[in-house]
Amino acid sequence: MAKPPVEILQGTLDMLILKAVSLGPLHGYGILLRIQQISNEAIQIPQGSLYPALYRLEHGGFITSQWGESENNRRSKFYELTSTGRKHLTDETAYWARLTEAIGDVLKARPSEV
Amino acid sequence: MLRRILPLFHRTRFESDLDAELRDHLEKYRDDLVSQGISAQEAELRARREFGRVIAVKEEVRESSGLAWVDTSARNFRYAFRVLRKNPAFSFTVIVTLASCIGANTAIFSIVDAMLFRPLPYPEPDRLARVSRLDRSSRGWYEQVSVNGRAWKYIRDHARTIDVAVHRGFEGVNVVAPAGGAQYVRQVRVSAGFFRVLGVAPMTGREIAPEEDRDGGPPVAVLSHELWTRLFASSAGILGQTILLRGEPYTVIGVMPQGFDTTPTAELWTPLRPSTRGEGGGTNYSMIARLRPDHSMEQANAELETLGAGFIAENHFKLASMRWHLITIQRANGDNDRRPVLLLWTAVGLVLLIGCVNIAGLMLARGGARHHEIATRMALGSGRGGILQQLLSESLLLASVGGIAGFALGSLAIEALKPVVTATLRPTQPITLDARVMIVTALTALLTGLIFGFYPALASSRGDLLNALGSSSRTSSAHRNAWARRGLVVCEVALGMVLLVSAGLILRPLLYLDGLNPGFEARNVLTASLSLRDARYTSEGAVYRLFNSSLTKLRETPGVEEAGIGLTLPYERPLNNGVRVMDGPDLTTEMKGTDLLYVTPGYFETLRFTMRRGRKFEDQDRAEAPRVAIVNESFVRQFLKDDSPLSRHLSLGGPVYEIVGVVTDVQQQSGLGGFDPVAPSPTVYVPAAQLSGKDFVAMHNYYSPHWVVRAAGSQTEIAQDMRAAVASVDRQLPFAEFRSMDEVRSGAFSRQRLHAVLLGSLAALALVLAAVGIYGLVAHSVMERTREFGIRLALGASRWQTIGQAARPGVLLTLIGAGIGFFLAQGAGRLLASVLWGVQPDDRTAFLSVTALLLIVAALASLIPSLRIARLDPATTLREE
Repeated sequence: MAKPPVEILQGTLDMLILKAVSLGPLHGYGILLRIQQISNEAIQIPQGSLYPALYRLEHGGFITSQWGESENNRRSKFYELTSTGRKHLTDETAYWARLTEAIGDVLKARPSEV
Repeated sequence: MLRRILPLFHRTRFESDLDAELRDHLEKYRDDLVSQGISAQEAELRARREFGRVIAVKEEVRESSGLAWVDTSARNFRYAFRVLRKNPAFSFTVIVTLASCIGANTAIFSIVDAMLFRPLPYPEPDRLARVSRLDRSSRGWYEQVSVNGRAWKYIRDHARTIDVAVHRGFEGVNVVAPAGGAQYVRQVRVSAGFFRVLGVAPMTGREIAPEEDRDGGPPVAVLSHELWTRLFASSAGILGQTILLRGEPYTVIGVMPQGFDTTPTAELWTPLRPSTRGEGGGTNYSMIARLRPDHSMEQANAELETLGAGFIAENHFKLASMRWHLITIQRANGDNDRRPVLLLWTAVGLVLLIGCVNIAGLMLARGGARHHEIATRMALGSGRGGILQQLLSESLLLASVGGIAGFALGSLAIEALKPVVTATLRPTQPITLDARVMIVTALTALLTGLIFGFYPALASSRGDLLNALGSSSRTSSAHRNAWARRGLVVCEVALGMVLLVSAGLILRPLLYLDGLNPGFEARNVLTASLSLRDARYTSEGAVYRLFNSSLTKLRETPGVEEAGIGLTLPYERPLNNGVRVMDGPDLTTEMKGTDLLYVTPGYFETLRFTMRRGRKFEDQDRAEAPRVAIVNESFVRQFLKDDSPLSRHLSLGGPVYEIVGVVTDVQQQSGLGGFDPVAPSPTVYVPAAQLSGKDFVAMHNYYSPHWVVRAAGSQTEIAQDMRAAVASVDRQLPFAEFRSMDEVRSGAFSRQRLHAVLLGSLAALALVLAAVGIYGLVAHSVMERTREFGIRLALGASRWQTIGQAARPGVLLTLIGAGIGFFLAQGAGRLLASVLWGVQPDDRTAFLSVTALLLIVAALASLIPSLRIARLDPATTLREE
């Protein structure tokens, strides 16, 4: 049973995209599907906002693109993680983990611990 | 960086790729929806709806790919172009101002650069220097960039920090190649090691060796690439060939690489054979020095200081204040022209300043007019950044058009100036358009445009939007602008005044020189000299034969009216000699200085000297006849005050001459003192036919005799006749350049003329710019005050009264500017004093005429735009606005 979708936080879309393509080259629509699939449909990305993010990441050198063939012989643009992107993703993941842990700690705090 | 630039070139590709990618996405989503059982039509609609607006997405994508600025810039430039095209008067004025300033600065700096700054084309030119000698005098240190033979030997034998060589000035000589054909060539005598010190090895062969550089050494010569091409048609077997130099055989031992030259310019180098007596007894050698590896200029100077003390001790000099030191070769070579050239540079800098002031004024005027537009755009939501970007685009557009036009003007100016400047100032390097200065000038002008272009935007964004929108044009900031503009016009006039006065000061002596009575008739006389410093012309017989036969031949030539030969020409510098009056009341016991030259019969006739008394030289005044002389009026005034010169006797150091005639004074350069570039001075003329071979050798060592021919017809034909006449006696004597006597006359002060022409053009440009500034100010205020003037007219003011009122500010501001400029110009005059001659730095005529000129121009520039009022219809004007 899928949980109701959550809004993604500002700035986390880039990280999700990087994670999605880190598992193998994907086209835009594929990235969308993969994120939804991994998150058990919990994360719904507004379709229009995907592309500006993709181009921004490409402009920043974190991903590269290449035209190739997808299912049904369609020409699609595939995105792939660069080494810079991989490093960025690792850093971001670590940072995210620390952030969520810290926020989690704050939220779990009980009066006696303060 | 590449990622930022690349999309610009693949713009179309980028757009079609983006289209394809988004289409692919939509189709995939639609297919997925269809496979979930939704109808094709419904799926299509839903896919589009959920994706969002494709155009907006694309815009966002472009922005995140760093492409947005391209679009904005293109839009800004298109808009800027439209704005500028709608204000042709404004755009035209700015562009012309920019173009003339950039053009003038580029042209003048190209000259300055060639003269003073561009590194000389030798390896490590900053390690090359000249040894100069400083002597303390009552007026401070006196510097002389030359040494005598003893100093040269001392420095050569003792200096460890520098490698040295010496050379002399250039000499014009006759060169005959084995294939025949004589040429007049510039020769410089250099010591062994000269080329080594410069750091340039011969292209073929070798340079002069020490054993060739001493008395009795084998005569050898090194040729320039150009001379090798001209005389030997670039023949490969040149080394070891013999050329005749002044009639003596020299063996060619080397050819220098193409483009190599020395200071002074030369085509042929022969051994100097330095001595400590004769020419080496005086400070006649120029020394070049190259710092040895691992030694600095300071170390070398310290060593020279010590050597100088040793030299003084060794020679028991009383001159304990003599010092040697190094000055870089660049500095030494351009030394003569440094001051005037730097002054020119300053002048053109002033022109740039005036141009910038002008542009600032124009921008302010327009800013006032655009205040309203900018306020409106800001009220409609334009950001301050957006508006600044827009103004930046306009300034950039103006600057690039102005810059391109300036570049064109600058190249034209350089092409026009190059021959004159090269011939007059002999820069050490070719004059070429200098891109560096063009860019610097363009940037300066651009910056001015930007600063003053931004001013209205900044003023508008300071928040008084309501005020700006509410009132029509006469806002407080418009008033602020008006005051700023008036200040700018005053600046412009003051700076213009400085330039005009300077030009006036430089022009005055030139006008004086041009107005001098030459004392002879220059028209239709052609002249050329040829060097007789030649082994074949050491006897009087050979010289007589050459003179007589060539003149006889010339006089037989149809079209030739008269011909003669003289050692020197009017406007040139004659020989200085001692003279003693032997009899009469003014008898002198000691020698006094006079100018001296020999002439043949026909010289006075050709140049149409006027005889005051007595007779001219005749053919019978030959060697065996009694020696005769002719003196000029100055000579009579100075030496024969009883005014009965004829039959008096003179001694010129040897035989006694009887004065048989008096001729009028002519202008000449004289070494006898007096600071005038040319003036009449006491002169003795003797007949060539009464001189001895020894006399000729002594004179021809330093002077080349001139043939003068008066003839109607083309110069080329006469030159041909002159060559043929000389060739009929001697095929191996080439004339140096042919000149008309008019050219000789103007050549005597070509430097002054060039300075005056250049500075005069700059001053004229400054005047035009100032006039444009005044015109712009008045025209703008007339436009702004149209309504006011309409009311005045309607209330009964006369048209001329109103016009006067409108024009008055322009004239008033000019008066203020001229007043300030008056004081500035006096300072400038003092700076100029060193290059002025015969005029005081506060010369009243120059100041008054310039002020008058400035006021007339200002009055015109103010009146012309004010005349618009004459066509004003009060009724229409009042209805407007």
